[in-house]
Amino acid sequence: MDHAIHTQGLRREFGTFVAVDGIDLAVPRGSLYGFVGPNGAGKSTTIKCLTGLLKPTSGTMRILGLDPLTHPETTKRRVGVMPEDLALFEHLTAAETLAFVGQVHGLDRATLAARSDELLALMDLTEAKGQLVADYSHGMRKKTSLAAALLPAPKLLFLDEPFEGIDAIASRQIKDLLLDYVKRGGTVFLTSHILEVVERLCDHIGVIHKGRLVAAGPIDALRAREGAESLEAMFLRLVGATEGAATPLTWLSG
Amino acid sequence: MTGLLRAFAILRWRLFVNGLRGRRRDGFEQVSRISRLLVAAMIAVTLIPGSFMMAVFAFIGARGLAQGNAKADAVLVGAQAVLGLVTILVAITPVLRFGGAPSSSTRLSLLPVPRGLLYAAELTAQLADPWILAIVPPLLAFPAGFAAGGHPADAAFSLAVGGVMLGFLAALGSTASLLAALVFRNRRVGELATIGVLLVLSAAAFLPTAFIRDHANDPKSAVHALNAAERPWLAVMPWSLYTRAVDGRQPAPALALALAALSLAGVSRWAFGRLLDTPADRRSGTSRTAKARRFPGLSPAAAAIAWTTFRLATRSVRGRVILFTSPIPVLMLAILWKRILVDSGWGSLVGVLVLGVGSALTLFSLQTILANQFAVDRAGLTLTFLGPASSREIVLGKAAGGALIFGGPVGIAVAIALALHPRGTAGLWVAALISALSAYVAQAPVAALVSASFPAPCDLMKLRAGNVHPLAGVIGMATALVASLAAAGLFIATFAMTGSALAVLASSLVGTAVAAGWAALALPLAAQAVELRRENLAMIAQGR
Repeated sequence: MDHAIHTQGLRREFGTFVAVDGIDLAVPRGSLYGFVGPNGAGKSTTIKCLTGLLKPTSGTMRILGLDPLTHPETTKRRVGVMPEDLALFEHLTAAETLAFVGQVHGLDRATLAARSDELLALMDLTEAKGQLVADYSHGMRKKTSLAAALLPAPKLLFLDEPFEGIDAIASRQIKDLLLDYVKRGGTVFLTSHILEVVERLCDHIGVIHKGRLVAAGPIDALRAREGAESLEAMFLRLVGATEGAATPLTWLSG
Repeated sequence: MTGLLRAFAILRWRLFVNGLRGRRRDGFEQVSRISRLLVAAMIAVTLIPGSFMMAVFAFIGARGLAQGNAKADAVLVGAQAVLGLVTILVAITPVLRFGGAPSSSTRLSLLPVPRGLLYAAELTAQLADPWILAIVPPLLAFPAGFAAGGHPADAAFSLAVGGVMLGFLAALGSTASLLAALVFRNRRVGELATIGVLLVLSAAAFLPTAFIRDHANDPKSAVHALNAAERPWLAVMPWSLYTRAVDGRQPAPALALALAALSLAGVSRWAFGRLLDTPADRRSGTSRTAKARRFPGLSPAAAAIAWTTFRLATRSVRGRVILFTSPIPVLMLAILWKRILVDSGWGSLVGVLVLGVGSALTLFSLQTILANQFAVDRAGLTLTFLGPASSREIVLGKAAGGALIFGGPVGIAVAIALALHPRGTAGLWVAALISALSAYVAQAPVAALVSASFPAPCDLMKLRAGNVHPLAGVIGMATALVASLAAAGLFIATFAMTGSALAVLASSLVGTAVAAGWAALALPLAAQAVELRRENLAMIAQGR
């Protein structure tokens, strides 16, 4: 099978702490892959390794058939990334951020201008495109970062928590956009804490817990295998948490 | 009310202590923390005995006044000086904090406490200002001295006026800090205000020199200029109102002081309400579209990085401060040399010398950015690393961006030098510019290398958020000095030996070629350093 992302024994250590512990990922081309896990499970570290921001301690990676460690520039030309911290210059405007990304990716002026205008309109940033990112709200920053990831028309999109902190309208627009992108052959690898969104949007998932991939595959097949009614129930079971186990605060009453 | 005041006192105390403690525990943070503790300790060591001594003098002086001792008038002069100094410090300290708001307005507005009570707590908390605390003992010692001198009515009156003076200072401090918070919470307006304050301070630093120069031949005129008694506007200053009121129990100055305190309290109450009720303004958008920038000899990626680097200097508050303040010493030097050098036989060279010194000073001051170029982009560096630009393109783009930044103040230095010292041939002026460029070209790879080796988290968008790594700063400055001296040495030596502008031009071109050769060898080393340290650089740039 042709994979957009393929890793074997991917491991990343920070001193004695193992953030990613030998994971084997196989993300099919044209899939919308949800990568879920509790806080601190290693989701963002995995994305950073796959996008070349962190070097793995050991293991192999193939991104769209290329090794990002030996062909970093060629690989980066084919992927778009919206990282955890959004990676934006505070002193640029949204339009200038897109100009920067487009120019680094070698887009010609006409293509850059046309795509920028379209993306800014889609993200509802046209009126604010002259404002500095430093003056943006969190949601506006997120939309700018997403626009920057989409601008070079990548074959593979890495999105770290794309739906966190944005309004319902933008969230709906982004979901439609991602579904359309996948229909046209693109691949999306996203992380999210909102399991309902992952369940409705993604066709494949990977569950990471304490740096290890504890389950991966088509979402329906996994649910059937685990005998779970919902993704949430399956997720809680896989990461060893039980539903409704929180100690009630007896003094808290309406 | 007592509980609220206690909560505010604890909040301020914790903010103070936690501010001294700091977040990170690395070596540089420890040094920074210790130096801040030392400053706090030095202020305490100076203020506490100073306050006690002032109280003793106030007591003795007031008792002398009550007993009709003519020499005791000196205490009123001393009181004016101390109160004047405290008034100025209370007014300017919040402005120099550049909007460090005393409390979170959002948190305050969420509290289940009436607005009036919140404001009263904020105003009362101003009395915890160390400058105001320091004058409480002498203000209490004054009435005690009158009482000891057998004038209980004067004692009661001066106690009341002392209370009014404290109220005035609290209202002044509150007004200054709340207005500063209002101004500086809007990033754009705050930046302009910051630059304005710094320009005024920079220019003010030259005032003593100008004053001495103006009165150097006539000391009597200097004494006259400093004589406060001859300036009627000084009589209505709060420190004068206080001493006039307590000296002879005059109600009019006391009332004027109370009126001033009430007016200031009104302004600070309005500013407090504005802070709680209105969000910070956002800048309205413009309709500029995305535009790619191209530079000859640079790849599109390197050109984008160069333009973004240039933008950082022109749009960040610290970048603007460097760009705007760099020409001030050049201007002062040009004025100073007009008197000293013009008649000394160097007349035709003064303009190009001003330009040369201006370029060297600019290269020095830019080390804040250049010697920390891979840490000042913050999250933007991650965006650069996510793109398909090679480390060589990144280093080249950064160097070209630095050249664009360097060009701004050098251009202003050219304008200043040409306006004040237009003599000298065109060849000499062009040679001076080429020499300045050669110094930059020679130093650029070193700045890139030290920045990649010793990055330090720094946010140029804020005035006080990190700085260049000390080692990178020292190496950057030292190499800037060497490069500038080499360029200047070649220029002056050629001129001294040949006296020909053409020869100087040729030698500066040769110098630039040598610098470019060195840069061609050294820039790949810097690129290699960036390649090896990408991971660390991205983390440090984000302050991790």
